[in-house]
Amino acid sequence: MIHDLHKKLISKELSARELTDSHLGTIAGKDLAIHAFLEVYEDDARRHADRIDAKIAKGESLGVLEGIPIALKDNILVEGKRTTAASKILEKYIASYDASVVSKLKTAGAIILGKTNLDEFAMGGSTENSAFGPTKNPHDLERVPGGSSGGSAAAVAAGMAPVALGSDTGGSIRQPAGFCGVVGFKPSYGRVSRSGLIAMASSFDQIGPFATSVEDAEIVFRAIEGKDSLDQTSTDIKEEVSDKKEFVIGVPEDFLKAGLDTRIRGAMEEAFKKAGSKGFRFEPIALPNAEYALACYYIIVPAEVSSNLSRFDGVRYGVRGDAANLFEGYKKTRAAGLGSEVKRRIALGAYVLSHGYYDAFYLTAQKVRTLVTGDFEKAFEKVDAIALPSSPALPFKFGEKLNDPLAMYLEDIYTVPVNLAGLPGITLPIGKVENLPVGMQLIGKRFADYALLRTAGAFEEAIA
Amino acid sequence: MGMITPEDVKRLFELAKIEVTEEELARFPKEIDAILEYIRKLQSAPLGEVSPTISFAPEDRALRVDANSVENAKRTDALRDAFPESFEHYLKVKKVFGGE
Repeated sequence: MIHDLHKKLISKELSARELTDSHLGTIAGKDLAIHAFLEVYEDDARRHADRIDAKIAKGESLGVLEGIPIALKDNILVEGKRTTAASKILEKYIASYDASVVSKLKTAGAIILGKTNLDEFAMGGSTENSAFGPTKNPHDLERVPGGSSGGSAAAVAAGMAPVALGSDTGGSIRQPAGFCGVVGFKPSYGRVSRSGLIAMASSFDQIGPFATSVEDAEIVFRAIEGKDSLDQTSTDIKEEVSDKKEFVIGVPEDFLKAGLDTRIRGAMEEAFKKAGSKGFRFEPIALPNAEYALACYYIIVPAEVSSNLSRFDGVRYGVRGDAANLFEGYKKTRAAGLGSEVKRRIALGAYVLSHGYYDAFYLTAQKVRTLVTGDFEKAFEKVDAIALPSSPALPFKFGEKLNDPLAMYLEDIYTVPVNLAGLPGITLPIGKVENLPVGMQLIGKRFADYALLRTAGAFEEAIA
Repeated sequence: MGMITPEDVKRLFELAKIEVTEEELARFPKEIDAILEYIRKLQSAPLGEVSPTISFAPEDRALRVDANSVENAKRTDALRDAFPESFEHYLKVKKVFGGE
């Protein structure tokens, strides 16, 4: 889509203003029902589009993303704009700087349409934990779009934006991409700067694109990736991508038995059959420690969360609760401003890090993390990519999992191992079951992001 | 049988500096218990001699030059605008002790 739009802009078949207006129109028409956006930047977007049209009129050349509208998950800072992380505690917070990915997108000339809804502080798998109301799945308004980047996934699925950014800590790009029938890519940990992304779990978080094609996801990734001095966990990678036409995909049979909806398994088998005749070979692999990955994740992530969220104390920014003294102020501010899921994870984190439990939980989990990473490294000795579902279940109805936090966590079973190992992962839509989208993940080797995108592009074409 | 009591939950929230309501004290122990029960399965993982994953950060982390940054100075006004309460150009906070 992006290449087509770019050609139309250059040939003046379409103006940047028309393109932006058309997306703003779609938002105006559909978002009352879907609630993908928390804020829409109508005036700014139109002004930016006009500036780009002035460039085109002068015959100046245009970058591939110039004039292309994009939506951003509201845990990504845009200077001078409200950034809430879908939390009451940041309801009125105005960002004092641009996230590094935003600086890059601005340099590339992309038009920021606004901020999309998410589970509060990116914690959740349904966007039901947003303090400002849930987002609906455009394919079925009674079902969740997935989470935590539900708003961005829904925006792209509903045609409100051709591309969007989300963040992924345990599946928050890949799972909602599957639920909404769009492409969602989580880069290798360290490929994209986290500066200006409101931190959830610092050794897991990555920003990545939603799009309607692998090609478009790659264009956005290319614009935002790269080492950033403001993020010391980011790094530059020089990838050598081969031009092979045959790919070996690993299928972890044992792991797929863990409570996967048989209809999703069926859809995957269909996709495998189609791809099998177009240069893809499927090999069984083992991920023996994958069964521990979820438990491992839900120890380390709450620990990191409890540390990262201690900055929300009402002192320097955000809501401030009224209290008699400083410490009472912390307690009242945080009690009033933070939602239940966030509180639960902070409590869990405090528990697993506390004296007497640290060895049994946190240290053990860090060792299991090494085991899970090792399993993938071993598998990649014989395969190019690994196939996994993007979710064990089809998009569920609102309220179905809200009373059972553990049930909600179990939805992440196929996505968290990827974040534990810092690997790149991409969800592709592979069809529908009873009118609901089904997604499938392809996982790649650490730092082999462009190679994964190439494999995914070939798979996308093979099953079309 | 619960691994975690309302007293434990109270203590955890005290540590995390979050005031907890009666309703939450009734609800959280059960919810957190279920999660703790699940994560306890990690005890049966075959750890052997494996070393913990401490960090994914690259080896070559650079330090920046110890000099004033004009960029940071520009940002000071934006940071001050976000103060919930201020006095002249100072951040105003509640007194540390006393009150109640």
